[in-house]
Amino acid sequence: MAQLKKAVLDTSVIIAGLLSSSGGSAKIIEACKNGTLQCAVSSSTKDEIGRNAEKLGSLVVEKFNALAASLHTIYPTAELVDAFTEFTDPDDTHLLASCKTWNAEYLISLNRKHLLKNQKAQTATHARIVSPGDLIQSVSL
Amino acid sequence: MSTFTTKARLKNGLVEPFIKPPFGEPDEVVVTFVKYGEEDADEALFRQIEPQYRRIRREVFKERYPDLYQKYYGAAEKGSA
Repeated sequence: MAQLKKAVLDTSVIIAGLLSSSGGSAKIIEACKNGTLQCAVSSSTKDEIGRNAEKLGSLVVEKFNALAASLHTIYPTAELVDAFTEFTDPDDTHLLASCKTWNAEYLISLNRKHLLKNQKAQTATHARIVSPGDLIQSVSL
Repeated sequence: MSTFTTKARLKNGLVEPFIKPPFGEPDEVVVTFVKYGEEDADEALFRQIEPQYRRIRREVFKERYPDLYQKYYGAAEKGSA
């Protein structure tokens, strides 16, 4: 049996997937829940989602709680987070550090400004940084 | 050198930043005009929530990595106080 793909999810993907059931983010979340994709979030992302969800309403909180059990949580060290500031905005480096810590194959994000197409970050983490749509096309989710 | 990035509004050919930099009058101003092209629905959705997302991300970074926050944003915070 083929090894499941390992993907770290950015907060942006989870929030978009919880808010809209029709986009690529929702498909990624569905793949996490049904086990066709092995998904993880950083401890920071988990905090961020909780706080965003509180502001977006109780339905989003419920959906997030249902998803949380399907997600691994990664706790990257401050040293590793600091090391990745060379490649992107310091606020976003916990995602790169999580990819490295968990040996993820993908980082899925909607953040075009700092992460998508960031070749240096991809080389440093050995993870492909892709949008939900890109991943769905490349691995036929 | 300090830099500060904020969103701005283009009105009658004039660029109006939403907030002022924390370090007073800048020596130079650089403007980036963005045209969203083949954007999918998720990206459009994300763009709407992005200001809140960035604000919360900075809050969490400050709480989880206080030393790194001081290292990278401490000077800007002092400047805006």
